[in-house]
Amino acid sequence: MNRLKLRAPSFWTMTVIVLTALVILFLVYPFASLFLKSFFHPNTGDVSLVNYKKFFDTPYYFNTLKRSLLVSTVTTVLAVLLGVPIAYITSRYNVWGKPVINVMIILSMLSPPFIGAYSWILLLGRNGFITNLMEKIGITMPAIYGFYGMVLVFTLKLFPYVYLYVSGALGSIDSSLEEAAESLGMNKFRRMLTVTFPVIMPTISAAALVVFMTSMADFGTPLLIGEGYKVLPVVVYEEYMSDIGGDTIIASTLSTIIVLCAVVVLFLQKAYVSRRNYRMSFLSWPGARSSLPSMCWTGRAGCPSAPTSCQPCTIPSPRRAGASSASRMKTVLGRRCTPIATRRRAAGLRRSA
Amino acid sequence: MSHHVVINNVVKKYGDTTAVKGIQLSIGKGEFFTILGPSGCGKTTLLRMIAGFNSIDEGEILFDGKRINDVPAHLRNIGMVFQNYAIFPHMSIFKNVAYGLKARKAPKQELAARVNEALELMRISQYRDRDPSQLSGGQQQRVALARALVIRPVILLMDEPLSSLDAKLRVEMRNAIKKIQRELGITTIYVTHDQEEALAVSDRIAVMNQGRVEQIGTPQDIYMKPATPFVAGFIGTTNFLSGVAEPQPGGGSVLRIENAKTVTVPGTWRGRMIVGLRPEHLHLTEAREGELTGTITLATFLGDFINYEIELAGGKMIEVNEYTKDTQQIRMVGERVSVLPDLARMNLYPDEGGGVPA
Repeated sequence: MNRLKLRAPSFWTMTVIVLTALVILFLVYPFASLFLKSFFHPNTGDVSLVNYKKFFDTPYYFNTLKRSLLVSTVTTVLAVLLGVPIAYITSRYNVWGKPVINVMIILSMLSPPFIGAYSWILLLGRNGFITNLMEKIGITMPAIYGFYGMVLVFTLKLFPYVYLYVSGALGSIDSSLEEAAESLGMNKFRRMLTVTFPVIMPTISAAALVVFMTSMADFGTPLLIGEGYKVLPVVVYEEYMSDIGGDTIIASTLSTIIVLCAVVVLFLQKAYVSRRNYRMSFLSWPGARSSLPSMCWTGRAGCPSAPTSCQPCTIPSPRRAGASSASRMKTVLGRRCTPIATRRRAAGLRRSA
Repeated sequence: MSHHVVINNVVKKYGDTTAVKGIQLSIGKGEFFTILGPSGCGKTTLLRMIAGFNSIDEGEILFDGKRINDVPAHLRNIGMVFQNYAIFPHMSIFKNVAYGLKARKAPKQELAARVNEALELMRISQYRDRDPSQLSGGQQQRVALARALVIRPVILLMDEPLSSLDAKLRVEMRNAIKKIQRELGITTIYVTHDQEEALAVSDRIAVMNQGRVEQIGTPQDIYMKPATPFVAGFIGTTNFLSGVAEPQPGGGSVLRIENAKTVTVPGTWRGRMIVGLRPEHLHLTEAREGELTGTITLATFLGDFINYEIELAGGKMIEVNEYTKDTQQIRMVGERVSVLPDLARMNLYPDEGGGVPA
């Protein structure tokens, strides 16, 4: 009987219990109550999928999903197409004013996205500076509102993520890989396509994930610049906050759908990365585990030519990606502040500055 | 097939420091040539200049009489093996080895045949479809070598290829490298800081120090007749003693070593000298007058030989090896002994003000 004597739980057991409780209290409970609402019939209170049927049957709602996915996809593609070449050029060539470029890019990440949207409206909006200027010389500018404006603002706002992730990866990639390709007879361009980019593909995909989720969850930008082109978060906001005709149940249904999209994309990215998990000496894994883009940045600045010895990060760990998706989930409710990941990154930047 | 490599007064500068200070080398066809030196001596810089990864600030490098200073690295047709292997992590072993042939747009059938041949040569055919991360260090090294050889390069460059392997594997791999090099007859330039490795694999060795070549010669030359005190100290162990020489009228010189022993040596020497003697070229006897005499301070039994540390009368510490096949007795610490140098194996260097190395 003695063997069954209860002992006081150890410190670590207690820590695990307390942390689990905190997660349930602050994360699972609020979300669960939100999500669960969407699985009950609004009138009878029975468990049912009637809200989801309504979502898919009502073009007004269903179109928002299509729009959200379209905006995010186009933004992600454009941000990658913009960020990767800029990162490649600044990390492989001596570009004049590189430190200035880096600081400006980080600065642009520090402000909330809708400020970017607002400044574009000031420039290109109906009464915008450039619009008025062009009007004087007889040119009518295309409208910035709607799909194109949103994509423009998101792309310019979010490509710095790609830039920072990819610069970090390019800085820490083992230069002997590229040299090996060179000595084997590959020219610069084919070398880039066959070695450099494939090796940093996991990093590019992580950056794309951040861009996709941020643009999917952002509320301020589409509210300001989207106008009639309503995306999911805007409709969620309207359904929750509208004084008349608001429908909190459909709002929670839409919220659940946003989160589901995020989760699906997250798992796709994780599945992609796990197939390309290069456990090789060319990446420093301790650094990779704490892969904040800010560290990439100090890494680039600190040791541009010493690739193997001090390389703080490249491939974000799945845990890192998970954290960003969690912060994304918190933004479902429309009232969107700076996401936690951004704030943490900003703190990291300040520390390193 | 293989090229004759000539390196003419090559210089490399990094800002104010000169990493390579005018190096002159000539490497024969099919030769296994090693550049040996301590870290930071400029050997890797020189190799990277040959490979085309570093620019050549002064001088020129010729392959078969053709100047290659301005030929970009990817057109030099060089096979290079890197210290960390630099295996492409996102490709299978087969694709890694095939990479250079893809760059040359080799026809599919020829590509497969040549890759298989290279894999066979390096005895890694069974891993052809594996990922690099599934291979051990030695196997990755073989992949790196296969990848470098499959393109039939004019020169094979190896940058400390064995430094990340464990001791046993290193010996195994260096023998494998030597055999394959002999078999293919490919001109090889091998960079290492490991003198034992250099002695084991090379046809000739260039010993580098502080951006300059100190000596070029066969392994035996370099070991038996080191040209400078640096080479004597870097290759194996050498005891350095001080001496004063005076030429004799009838030829030869009188040398007084450590102010204790006077010997006659061939050649004309005058003034302060550095005397280089390896531990195995010294013999111990009971203490005698007119000899280098000292006290044993440490005796280490190492199986095939016993290593003694002896403090000479002047306070100088030297090392002496006695082979167990030659002697039955192990001397005790504290015993007073005389040290008899093997004059034929003694190396003399004029002391140019640098003093006797420790």
